[in-house]
Amino acid sequence: MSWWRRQRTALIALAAAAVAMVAVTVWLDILPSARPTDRVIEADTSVDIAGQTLTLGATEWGEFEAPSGSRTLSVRLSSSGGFDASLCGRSTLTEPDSSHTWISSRSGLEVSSDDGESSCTVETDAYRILLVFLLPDDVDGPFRLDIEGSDDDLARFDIDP
Amino acid sequence: MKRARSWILGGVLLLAAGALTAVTPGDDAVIGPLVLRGAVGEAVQSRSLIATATDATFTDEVAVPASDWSAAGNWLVVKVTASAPTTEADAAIQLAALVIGDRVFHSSERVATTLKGAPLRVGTDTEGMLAFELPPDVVAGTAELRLTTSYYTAELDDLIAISLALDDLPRVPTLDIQAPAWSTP
Repeated sequence: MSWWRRQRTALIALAAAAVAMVAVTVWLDILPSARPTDRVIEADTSVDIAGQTLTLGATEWGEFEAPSGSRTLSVRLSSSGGFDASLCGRSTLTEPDSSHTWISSRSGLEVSSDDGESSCTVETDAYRILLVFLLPDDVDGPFRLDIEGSDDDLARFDIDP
Repeated sequence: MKRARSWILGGVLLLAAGALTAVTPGDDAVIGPLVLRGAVGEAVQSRSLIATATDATFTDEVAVPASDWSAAGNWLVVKVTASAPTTEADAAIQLAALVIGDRVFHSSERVATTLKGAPLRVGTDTEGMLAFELPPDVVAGTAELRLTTSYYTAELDDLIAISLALDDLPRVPTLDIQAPAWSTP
């Protein structure tokens, strides 16, 4: 009787233990940390996201007062609104050349709420959105504008202000 | 002869197992933070934070100018300039600790206007203060200011550590904790 045959019970148990270890590692360690990838919707000027249609409008440098060494970049969008309109996640501006990412934020800037919503919102009628980014003076773009929608959708516009 | 060889082999294996155990890094070394050290006035850059401690002062009372709040005690207030190196997503100092010997003091959450938790920008510095409420006996020695964007002690991530000589620091009767603001060069 060969060694393999004599040890077959132990070998089967060892193989079963190895499979169980891999399965438990995947189940408890790998799957919980895996984040579902957003579905990126590349857009020229318009995109359907969060139950509404967003249309990219004008961009403007330096519309709002910024600290020395920085300037603001305003990005305007119009939304169709709609009965299914829902809130969006954060809007980010990325410079692909440097991989630097800025988040739209009005904190510290004197931006009036009359200028537009700070993100897409629950609204049945058409409305305006104003995103404001604070960028260093030496950053010129081009940029990638990402707007997180609902259901893991991500609207992406290319911007070259 | 064969019996002696077995004993020798067993002893060698035992020694090898002991040596392997001795050289195996402990948990702290395996999952501990990657400490990036610096001095006051020196910018230290980690994966998610650029920070410079520009000033440190002892004070007997901290006050928030925007409100009537104040608190007496043995306070150490550190002025820090910070920014985010690559992304503004989740960019904020979430854990600021002062390590003095074997004691660790977290920055006070009683003061509403500190830099802790303030959003940081890419390419634009934010200047703010961190306040540490210390026991009355802590007035001298060397302290280490530890900063991270993690809510918990960093594991397998960068940790900024800035050395402070407490003996050299001035003491003022009262100090206003100014809200974080963008600093201009």
